Amino acid sequence: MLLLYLILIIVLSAILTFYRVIKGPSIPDRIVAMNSIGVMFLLVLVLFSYYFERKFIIDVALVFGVFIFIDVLIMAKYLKKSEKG
Amino acid sequence: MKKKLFIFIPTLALWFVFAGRVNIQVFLLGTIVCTIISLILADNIFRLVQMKYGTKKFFIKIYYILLVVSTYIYDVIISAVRVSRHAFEIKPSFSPRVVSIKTTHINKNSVAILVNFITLTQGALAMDFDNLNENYYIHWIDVHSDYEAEIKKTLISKHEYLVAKIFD
Amino acid sequence: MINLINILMQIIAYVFLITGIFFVLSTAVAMIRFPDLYTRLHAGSKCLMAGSISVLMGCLVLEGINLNSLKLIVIIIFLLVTNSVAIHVIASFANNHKIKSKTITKNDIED
Repeated sequence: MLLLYLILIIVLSAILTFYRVIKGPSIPDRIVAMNSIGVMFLLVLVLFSYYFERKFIIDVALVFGVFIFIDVLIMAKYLKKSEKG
Repeated sequence: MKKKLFIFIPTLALWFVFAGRVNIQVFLLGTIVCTIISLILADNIFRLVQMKYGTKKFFIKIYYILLVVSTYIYDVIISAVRVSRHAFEIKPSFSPRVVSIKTTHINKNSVAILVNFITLTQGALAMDFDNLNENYYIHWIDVHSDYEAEIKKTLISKHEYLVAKIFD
Repeated sequence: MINLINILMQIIAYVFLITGIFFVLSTAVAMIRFPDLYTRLHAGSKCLMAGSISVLMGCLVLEGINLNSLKLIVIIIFLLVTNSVAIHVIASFANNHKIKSKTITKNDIED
C-alpha cells in the first residue's frame, strides 16, 4: 500500500514540472523539462511492475528509455539546422 | 576480423538478456541479427581507436572502466544533495561563475569522454571545448571565493587522471 | 531466522525508494524556483540521476538475484550514459546561440 503513495508522489512531481513546459522563456528550457518528465514516467513504469506483479512491464521500460534519448537528440539537431538557414 | 568478433559477442550476450531464455530458435535468430549489425557497424565504431595492446592489458582496462563507473555513481549522489539543498532554501544562495581550465590530455577520445561525463561531478557543467587553446569552459554553481575554486580544480584533475588510464 | 532476513531486506529496499523519491520531488521544486537556464540544467541532470539510480537500486534489492535484475542493471548503466550526453548537447547548443544568464558573478569568456 505504501508503493501506491510513492507512485502518486512521482506523478505529482511530473505535473509540477509541466509548469515549466508551458511558461519557459526559451526553447531549451522546454526540452530539459520534457526530458525530466520522460525519466519520471520511466520510474512509474518500473514501479507499476511491482504493484501489479506483472514482470513484463520492465521490457516496456527498457524500450521507453531508448526513445527518450533519441527524442532529445533529434530536437537539438532540428533546432541547430533551423537557426542556420 | 578481430573488430567484427569484438562487436559480435557483446551484442549476442545482450540479445540473450533481452530474450530471457536460452533456446535454439532464439540462438538462430540472434546469430542472423548480430551478424548484420557487426558487418555494418564494425568499421565506423573502431575508426578512432587504435588497438595496439595485447590481451593481458585488456583485463586491466576492464578493471579501470568498472572503477570509473563506480566513482561517478558515488559522486553523483553527493552532488545531488548539495543541489537539492539549494532548492528548498527560502532564499537560494548560489553564485555561478564560468571558469576555463587547461587540459593535460593528448588523446581525443579521453577529451570526448570527460566533456560528457563532467556533468555528473560536483556542481560542474561543461559548456564548450576550445580546440585551439585546449581548455574547457565549465559552469560552476556554488563557488563563492577564489580559494574554493582552487580546491575544485584539483578535484577535476583527479578525474582526468582516472580517465587517462583507459585510453593510454 | 529466514523471516528476519526477509524483513530486513524489505526495510533496506524501502529506505532506497524513499530517498530516491525525495530527490525526484526536489527536481520538480528546483525546476520551478531556479531563475536561470544553466542552473535548471544542474537540477535536471544531477538530482534526476541520483533519484532514478536510487529508485532502481531499491527495486533491485526487492527483486533478488534473477534475470529481471540483470535488465535493471542494463537500465541503470544506459540512463547514466545517455542523460549526461543529452544535457551536454543542450548546454553547448545554448552556449553557441549566445543565451546569456543574468546571475553569473564572474565570467572568463570574453565577448
